[in-house]
Amino acid sequence: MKEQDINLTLHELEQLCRLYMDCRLSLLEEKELEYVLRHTALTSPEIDEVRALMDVTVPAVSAVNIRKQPKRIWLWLWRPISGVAASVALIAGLISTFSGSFDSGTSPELYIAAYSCGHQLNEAEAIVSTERAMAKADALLNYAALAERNSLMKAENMISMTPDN
Amino acid sequence: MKKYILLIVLSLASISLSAKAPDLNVEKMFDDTYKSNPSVSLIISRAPDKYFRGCTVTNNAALVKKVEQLFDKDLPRASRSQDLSSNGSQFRSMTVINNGEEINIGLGYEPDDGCYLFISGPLNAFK
Repeated sequence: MKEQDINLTLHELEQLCRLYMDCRLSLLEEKELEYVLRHTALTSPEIDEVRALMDVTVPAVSAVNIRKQPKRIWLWLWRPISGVAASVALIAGLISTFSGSFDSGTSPELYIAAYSCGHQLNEAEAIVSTERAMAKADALLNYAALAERNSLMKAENMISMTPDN
Repeated sequence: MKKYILLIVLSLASISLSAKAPDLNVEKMFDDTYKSNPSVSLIISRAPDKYFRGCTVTNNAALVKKVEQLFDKDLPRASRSQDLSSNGSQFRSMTVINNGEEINIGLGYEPDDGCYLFISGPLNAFK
């Protein structure tokens, strides 16, 4: 992200935070907002609320102000680096297209990941948590199906009890 | 040479377009942002026959509101939806069709400013 993007005014940043709270930002825009919040010391109740949601802390002032000047060598290296990066991205895209996998570095056969209160659970804990979560989801869906069936039966009974029928 | 490259690119594009990801708004709850959030617990499970994701929010009314907004944004795409409310508990569900397969999305509200969101369906529905 360019430096000019980070130099947002308090008002502009608050507007972005409002858009985030209203779910009107794309995934990429949310990532950019998170980056900005990590690198700006601006605060307000709205901004702090989004920081809390994203679990982002206010950066130290010194960390915000210190910016290294870009070195000239990067300008020389830019073209080959971007070429290599583009090639890697193309190969990764081809692999993901043909393997049909969602997450990089995971087996397409079975993948389980679980995070509890900000911490990643180990494999055994993740399996137990997954089984519980799936059982809870199944119970809720079954409850919903049962309630729908009961409501339909009640409605049919009421219709059949009307004098016209 | 350019013709062959163009042919390969077009072939790849047609393959990738034949099956598309559902791009649900509620899927935002499962990106890296929330993995480290102390109010959130996430479960992601992918097996050959089923893809399941669960998200539990505890003691965070603002985040519950956000989950609810994401759910509401997906509601117009649902082929079927349901709102249940009894004995103080509330549960909402919807079914979205993608790649010809059903994706079940449920949102249950918890009493402590929390909620439980899940997305479940066959693997092909998410490709």
